[in-house]
Amino acid sequence: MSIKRLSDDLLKVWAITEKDIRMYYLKSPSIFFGIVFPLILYFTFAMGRPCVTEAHRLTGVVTVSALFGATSVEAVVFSLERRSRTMDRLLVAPIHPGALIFGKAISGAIFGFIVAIIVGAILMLFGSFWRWTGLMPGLKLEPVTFMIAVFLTSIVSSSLGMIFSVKARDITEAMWPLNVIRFLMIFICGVFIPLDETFAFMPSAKFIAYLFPITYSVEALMQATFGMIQPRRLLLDFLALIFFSATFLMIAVKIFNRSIR
Amino acid sequence: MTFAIKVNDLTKRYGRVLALKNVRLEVEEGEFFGLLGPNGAGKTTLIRILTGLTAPTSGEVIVAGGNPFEEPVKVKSRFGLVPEISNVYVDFTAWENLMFTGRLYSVPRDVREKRAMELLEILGLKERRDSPVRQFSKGMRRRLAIAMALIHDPQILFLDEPTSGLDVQSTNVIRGILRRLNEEEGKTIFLTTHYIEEAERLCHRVAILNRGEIVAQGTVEELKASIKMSEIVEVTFNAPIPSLSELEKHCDKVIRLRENKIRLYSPHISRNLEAITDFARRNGLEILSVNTVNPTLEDVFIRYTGLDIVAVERMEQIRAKGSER
Ligand SMILES: Nc1ncnc2c1ncn2[C@@H]1O[C@H](COP(=O)(O)OP(=O)(O)OP(=O)(O)O)[C@@H](O)[C@H]1O
Ligand SMILES: [Mg+2]
Repeated sequence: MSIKRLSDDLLKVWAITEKDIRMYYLKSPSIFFGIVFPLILYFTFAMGRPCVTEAHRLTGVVTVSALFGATSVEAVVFSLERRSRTMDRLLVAPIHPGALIFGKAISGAIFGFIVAIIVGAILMLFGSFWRWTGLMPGLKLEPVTFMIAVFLTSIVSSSLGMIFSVKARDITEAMWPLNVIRFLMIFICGVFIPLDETFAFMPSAKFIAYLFPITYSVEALMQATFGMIQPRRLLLDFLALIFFSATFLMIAVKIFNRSIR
Repeated sequence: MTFAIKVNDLTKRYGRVLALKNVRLEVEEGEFFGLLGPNGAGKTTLIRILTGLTAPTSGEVIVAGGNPFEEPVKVKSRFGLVPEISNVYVDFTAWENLMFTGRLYSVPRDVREKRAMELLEILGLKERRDSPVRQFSKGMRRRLAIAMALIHDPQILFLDEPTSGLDVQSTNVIRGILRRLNEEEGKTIFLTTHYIEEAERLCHRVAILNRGEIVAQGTVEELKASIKMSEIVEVTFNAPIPSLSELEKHCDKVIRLRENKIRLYSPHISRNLEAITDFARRNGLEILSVNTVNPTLEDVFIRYTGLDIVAVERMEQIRAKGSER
């Protein structure tokens, strides 16, 4: 593949990403599932489970925002694009299906990223809001690592969302399987409760958590927000997230190709 | 001779529905080709296969020198498609729609801006270029969809019922542009329609598609010549005709033109004449005149599809009410 072809493809990918951002971010389903819903979830956890640590509250809610934001926007984009038949416009254009899916994954990731960063910033600044003490206690932020971790979480989420969205005819068709897997991950991956506590009943089952990408997100975010970075561990988390994203994207492209035929 | 489109032995099955059956057709470069057929004939299916949107079940497809499924990027940059339902982005303005489409085809910014301006001008949308498309009428959306299909200056333009459901003015604008694109810019045009008059006026060559099969193909003149003049007979009686069912047994198609005048389509004229005199005698009617008729494309259509044009038009009206937007 020549450099010219590659840059042409990237420009097309970006055109799609940019259009999705402008067109779908402010649609009400994106806002509801991507922003309002994680917040509701957060408050449910914040109030209902006093044993949850501050640290988990922050990383958990950032993870959930990225996860819900990125997956939901994919479901919205694909179903709206199908319904208005504009999907055909993309399919009839000279773009590889892989590039098309990649463009959409990026736009979903950007949405998840923005939502998660905003939510994260609010929590850090007013983390102890309930106690009126301002800045979250124990916070020792590594901003760059934090951003990378949030972005990779968003990418892995949008790729996951894609698997269920590429074939969906409407939003709910994509949402119900997504909800099953999203809630499963919230409970298994140590999002609001430490892994050891989650698997207290059977510590040997802890490996299950490591079969899901969000576990690595939480681990990386924990390290980035409370200054406990272990370089090897962090690298492993990032690599795992990249591996999951690539796998999910490939599956999505496969399903997408099959759905066209 | 170079072909813009070549289809061989193409079959498409949707589960148990056979949407296309052994379709064979060739369209030369620079030709204005019309695919004429009633609702459900398979026109949209064929256009979707040609443009790489739906995979065929079997058969060979070559468009602009390549197979749209094997070399999608190469082939897809050489044609434009105006689909049955104008798929424009309603949240964007006309201008933004054109710019986005241009980017999908890697048209450089200065070129796409210049071309977009020209296209908007020709299609009568220049004044409304900054309005959101949500506010556009059906005809305006269709015209924008045409502009979007032309932004990358393709060699081939596919249009699926481009004027269906539009008013006379929009229809005329669109037909004028298509003719000009073909005559002045040498673009190959492939359109589907069920308006016979549209095919007759615009197309060099026409194929008639019925229930997934191409039943006739050729220039309009060739198609007309393919039915012998004697195959169409008009008969006038002295009084209103009670029922046609008896005559329908003897020929392909009988149409009531007036209450005392009918038109018959059949390849066996002598047998028909007997049937007609029989029919008149039995119903106490007197035959005032019997004429053979010069076939129109409409007659060709009726002859090959067995469909009554009035019925076709009525179906269209019903459909137009329910579709689009
Ligand atoms: N996606 C599909 N799944 C199943 N059957 C389909 C599908 N698309 C088309 N068909 C069937 O294929 C046949 C041809 O349909 P097609 O839409 O190609 O006809 P058409 O000539 O375009 O009709 P119209 O004039 O109404 O647009 C019909 O019987 C239709 O029901
Ligand atoms: Mg159709």
